[in-house]
Amino acid sequence: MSIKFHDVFYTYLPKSPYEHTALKGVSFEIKDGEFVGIIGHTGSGKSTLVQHINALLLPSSGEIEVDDFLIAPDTKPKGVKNLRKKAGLVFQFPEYQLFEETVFKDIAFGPKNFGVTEQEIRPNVEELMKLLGLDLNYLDKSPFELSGGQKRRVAIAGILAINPSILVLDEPTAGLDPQGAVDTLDLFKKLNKEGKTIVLVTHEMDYVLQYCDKVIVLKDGAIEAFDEPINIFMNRRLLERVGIEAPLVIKIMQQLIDSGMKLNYGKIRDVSSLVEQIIKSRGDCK
Amino acid sequence: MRAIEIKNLTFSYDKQEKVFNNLSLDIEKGKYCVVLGRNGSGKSTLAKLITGLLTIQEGQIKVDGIEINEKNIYDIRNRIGIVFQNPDNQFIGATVRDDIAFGLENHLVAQDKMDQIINEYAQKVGMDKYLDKEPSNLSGGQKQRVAIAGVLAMTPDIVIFDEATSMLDPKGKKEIKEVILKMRELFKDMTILSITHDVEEALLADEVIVVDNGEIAIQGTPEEVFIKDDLLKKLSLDIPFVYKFKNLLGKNGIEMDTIDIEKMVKKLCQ
Ligand SMILES: Nc1ncnc2c1ncn2[C@@H]1O[C@H](COP(=O)(O)OP(=O)(O)OP(=O)(O)O)[C@@H](O)[C@H]1O
Ligand SMILES: Nc1ncnc2c1ncn2[C@@H]1O[C@H](COP(=O)(O)OP(=O)(O)OP(=O)(O)O)[C@@H](O)[C@H]1O
Ligand SMILES: [Mg+2]
Ligand SMILES: [Mg+2]
Repeated sequence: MSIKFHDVFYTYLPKSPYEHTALKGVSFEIKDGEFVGIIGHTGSGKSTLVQHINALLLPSSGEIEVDDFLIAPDTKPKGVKNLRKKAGLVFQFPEYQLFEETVFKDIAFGPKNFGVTEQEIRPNVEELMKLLGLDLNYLDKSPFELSGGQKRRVAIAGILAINPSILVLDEPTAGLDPQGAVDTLDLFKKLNKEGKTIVLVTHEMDYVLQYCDKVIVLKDGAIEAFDEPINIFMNRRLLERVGIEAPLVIKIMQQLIDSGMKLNYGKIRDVSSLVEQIIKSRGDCK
Repeated sequence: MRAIEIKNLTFSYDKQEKVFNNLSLDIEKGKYCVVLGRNGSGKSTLAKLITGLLTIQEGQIKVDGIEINEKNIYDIRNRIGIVFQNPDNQFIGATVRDDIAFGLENHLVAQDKMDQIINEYAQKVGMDKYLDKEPSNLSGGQKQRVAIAGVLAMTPDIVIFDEATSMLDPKGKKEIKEVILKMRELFKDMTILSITHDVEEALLADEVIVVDNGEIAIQGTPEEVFIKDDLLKKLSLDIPFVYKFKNLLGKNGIEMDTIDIEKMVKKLCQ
């Protein structure tokens, strides 16, 4: 289930005074089963880009291939419903996604739309709620009467309920408490190991380093880099240019290296691997 | 002098379980307080009660020493600026400019000063190029920046941020934090209440308040709060990276008496 962008441009409100070209010739390929992060400054085009993957937005020019589907300018691709079953998108703001009277109906909406009955869905909905740390007491509550983080969990559950092979996640951990964020990412990683392709837009660079195989760096609607996270975060000049900061673990590691410690930086992802490498290399300082 | 005084507060939404039962909390004037707590612990509800957007059922809330009641609610709201968790709930104006202007008009700012203030605050949050855009056509982070500018431009006595920078990257968060801290230098009495899941932000606060299950679980300086890592973990929370680093080094027999990164690096390389 690969995703290919071919020279994609996207312009909001064309030929109006508000015209804004948010994507400027974007080309890349995400292979089946990859876990790819997308990062970039505020307004760099991340949300615009990912909304092309399930044809919510159609390119102004260029093409996108998602598996057998071809997404081109002007007309919705044939069988767009099937495309949305394959590629599920969790929006940046959960409120854009919630609309049913109850949490149950909201999570069940997708599968129902694809022909599954409410009864058949019920166990699955409950299972998903448990996975996402939602109390089953909320089943019959209105999603609009939930806290911000609870809404986010319902929105994610609603997409997982469709069981798409590509998961496109726009800032899925914004608003989640720290434990919730890690649990949710671990869940995505597990689904990834089971074969799903994951596209994760995030501004949490620690998560990019810990969870992503590769990362796309956007700047003003164009791709500045597409590489493994460690290579991106070790490239100070690139980071400077795109206005992003490396995670603290990398910054500390760089300071140690600059002070003469010989660290095996390829192995460092988080605080435990950092300390592990420090223990190994201590005494090696010049 | 206290900016906010909460006594024996009880609150529940419409026939539902109590969110707060007998909660008391004081916040000193001029303090920068960070509020942490797991999803659903009541942080946003508390913010709405302080601003009078929700009505308390029992107990009392005083703002600047004045108890909130039906008569003074508009006066009180004028002293408090709140940035909501979802910025879409914030926008009123057709353009970014109108939106920032709206709050200023309410504060009876003279027309000729208005433009200057709007430009100044839009610039502070990096949105001066977007003044003529519609708020609904902005990216997530741009919306948050505009919402913040609108509230700060009114220079309220009390600023409440409800996850106001959740869509910004660490660098963007830092820029906004600097704007706020600079404002606080200028307006010494400005009290800041920042609800967040970002424990790194809490490092800079004067005080950290941890809410759980409708109660104050911990309240203290960042140092006092973040040594309780086991308790925080139980509350679905986390500690800042430097504390994790220090603790893990300690477990491996390298004791650090500081959380200053440069000093730690120096000691490790001795
Ligand atoms: N409008 C509402 N009607 C009924 N219940 C509500 C409403 N808003 C929130 N609640 C419930 O009240 C409790 C506290 O919610 P609140 O929004 O204050 O939490 P929070 O600490 O801000 O959480 P988060 O970190 O997820 O934003 C939650 O259990 C929530 O489900
Ligand atoms: N509906 C719209 N109409 C016009 N312009 C828009 C619209 N949505 C976004 N834009 C503009 O397109 C650019 C890219 O927006 P996008 O939402 O893709 O950014 P982003 O990288 O997701 O940013 P953030 O990190 O803030 O969410 C921004 O400059 C934004 O102002
Ligand atoms: Mg976005
Ligand atoms: Mg909240």
